[in-house]
Amino acid sequence: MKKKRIDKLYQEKLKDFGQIPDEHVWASIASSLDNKKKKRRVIPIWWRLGGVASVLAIVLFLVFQTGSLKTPETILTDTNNGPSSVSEEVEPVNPNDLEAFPKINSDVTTTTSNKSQDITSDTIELLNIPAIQVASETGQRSTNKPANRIPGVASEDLNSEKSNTTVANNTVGVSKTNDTIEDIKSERLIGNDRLDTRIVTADIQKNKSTAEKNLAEAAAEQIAMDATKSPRDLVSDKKVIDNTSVLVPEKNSKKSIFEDIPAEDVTELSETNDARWTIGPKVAPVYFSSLTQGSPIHSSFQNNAKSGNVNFSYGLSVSYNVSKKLQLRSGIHKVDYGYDTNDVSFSSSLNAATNSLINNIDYTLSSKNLVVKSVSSSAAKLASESAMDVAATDPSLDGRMIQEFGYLEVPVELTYAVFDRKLGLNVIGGVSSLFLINNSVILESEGIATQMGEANNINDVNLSTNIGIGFSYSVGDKMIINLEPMFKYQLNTFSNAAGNFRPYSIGVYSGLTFKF
Amino acid sequence: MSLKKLIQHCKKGDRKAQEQLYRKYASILFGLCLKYSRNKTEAEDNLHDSFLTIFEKIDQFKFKGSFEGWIKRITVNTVLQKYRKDQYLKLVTENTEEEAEVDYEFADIQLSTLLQYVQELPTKYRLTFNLYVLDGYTHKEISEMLGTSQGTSKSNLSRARMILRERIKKENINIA
Repeated sequence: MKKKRIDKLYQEKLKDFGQIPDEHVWASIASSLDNKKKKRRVIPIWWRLGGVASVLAIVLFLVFQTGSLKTPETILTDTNNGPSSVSEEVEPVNPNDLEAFPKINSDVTTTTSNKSQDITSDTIELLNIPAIQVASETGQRSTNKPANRIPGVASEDLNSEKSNTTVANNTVGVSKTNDTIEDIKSERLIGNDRLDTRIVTADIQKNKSTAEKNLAEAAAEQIAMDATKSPRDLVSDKKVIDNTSVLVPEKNSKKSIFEDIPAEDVTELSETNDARWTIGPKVAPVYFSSLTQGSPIHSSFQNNAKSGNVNFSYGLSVSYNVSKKLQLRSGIHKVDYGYDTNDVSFSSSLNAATNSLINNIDYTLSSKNLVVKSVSSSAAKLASESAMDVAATDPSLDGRMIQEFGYLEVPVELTYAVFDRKLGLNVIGGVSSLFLINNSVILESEGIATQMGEANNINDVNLSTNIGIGFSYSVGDKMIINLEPMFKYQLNTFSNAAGNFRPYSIGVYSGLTFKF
Repeated sequence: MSLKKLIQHCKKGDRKAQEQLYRKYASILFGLCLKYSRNKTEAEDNLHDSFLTIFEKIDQFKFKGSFEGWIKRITVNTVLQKYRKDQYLKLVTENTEEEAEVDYEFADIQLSTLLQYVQELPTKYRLTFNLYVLDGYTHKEISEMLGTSQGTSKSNLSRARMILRERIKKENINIA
């Protein structure tokens, strides 16, 4: 029972006990909430940055892809000069101009045989594949390419290849059916036959470990021999080949062409894509000011003297060489801007009227009683007041209002190399997305500063247009020292600025970039 | 603004709404914090932390049940979490339930004095007494909340009562 009395006593007195906490508790909570809000604000910024980065990555990827698609075309032309010249020469031929064909065919022969040697040596150098394999493959290719091209003249030849009949049989058929073009066809047969013979030779040689490089030469000799043979001989030769059932593994040989070409392309690409990317840190003193006289804070400060501050920007820059002259670059930079409004007077008032508060500023709790005015306007007011009360002392302090704001800057810029030597000169142009991360307005008087609040008319995200000149100096193969004076014109920094405030920043960015 | 609207605005992070909510419930929660804390400063700290938690988790309040009950639970939990870190919460069960009881009449003791006595209780006793006597938690719940056994909870309560009784008795004598 007695213990219940204690419980009852406390329940009666303390159960619904409440007490209003001191005012500073809310101030402390509000300030903690502000900090949390700022921290939270960082997350969406990173999301946005992530978005920007991924868009950039996609753009670069597409650029890269386009580049890689274009490159093989040139490589193909370079490395396969022989066959492509064959097609260029052969395709215009029509039955009316068939007389010209033998000559063409002999051209083809020469080109092909020469090329086969070239390719052999080139490929050995580029791919470091054992000589035997390369020789046999190039041997096959040099024979197969004309084999594929030449039948283009007569469609039957092509069809016969597709239907897996032997080249020899088909060509025999063709020579029998069309006497008028027999000579030409025989020449073609020479080509086909020669090629087939070489294919067979190549197949046989494939298994041998003797000097395979001689294969191309042997093939060339064979071509020369074939050229002396009559069509009939060729047909009989062909039959012999057929009878011995040494058939050309056409599918395999066709495959080898396509396998070969990409292999070379990859090698060429890996060489041409060297050091396309660069990355490096950058730091710059930046000066922030306005092109016009307006005030970002309030119209009453329009005529006040103002001065920009010099702050710092630092960050990381990544760039991609689109071409030898053109470079696309981005990165992320932390940049602080500062802007002073001079000749302001401020005083504390217990009953600060709401109309005396500056709309563009969210006051901190402790500064809600501050009345900030331009010295010129307050001087006029003071003159009228002091006329009434001569003894009154001026309670206000003269000082300046410092507006500070910081951004995360993500530039997307193009640089064009005017000079591209050890000492380079670039022209730079682009835009930056600026994400607000810091925003404060401070009152300073005689070395004492007080936090006034934060501007509510600064946009969370704004853009700037950037233009500049870049000087670069290459140190070795992998490193470049940069110096870039940049002018950045801010497009939509303030949502509600007085007097057409047009801010800009000037920075001299210096840094190192590393190629990789 | 209705409570629902106020909460909805708080969910959006509206600072004015947060301040209004704070003003509405600060008194109740500060009273709660004062009872669970050792002194005013500590209570203010606890209130601060509690409101931060409330604003942080207000999204989780789905308008089911009383909002006041919800924020009180958050406050109690915030305080308990703080003191749970103190190792001295764990007590060996002691059977001190039946103490010799001196019969006396309660004089008109000031609320502030009663509060002071509670605040001066050792943490383990203070929390148990508050939870059981003033906030209606069972020993099972208290043992779970404090990470002790039910026996310990009962013992702590008994100790708390005994200490408070002694203090009140002394106060009575002084008054007399």
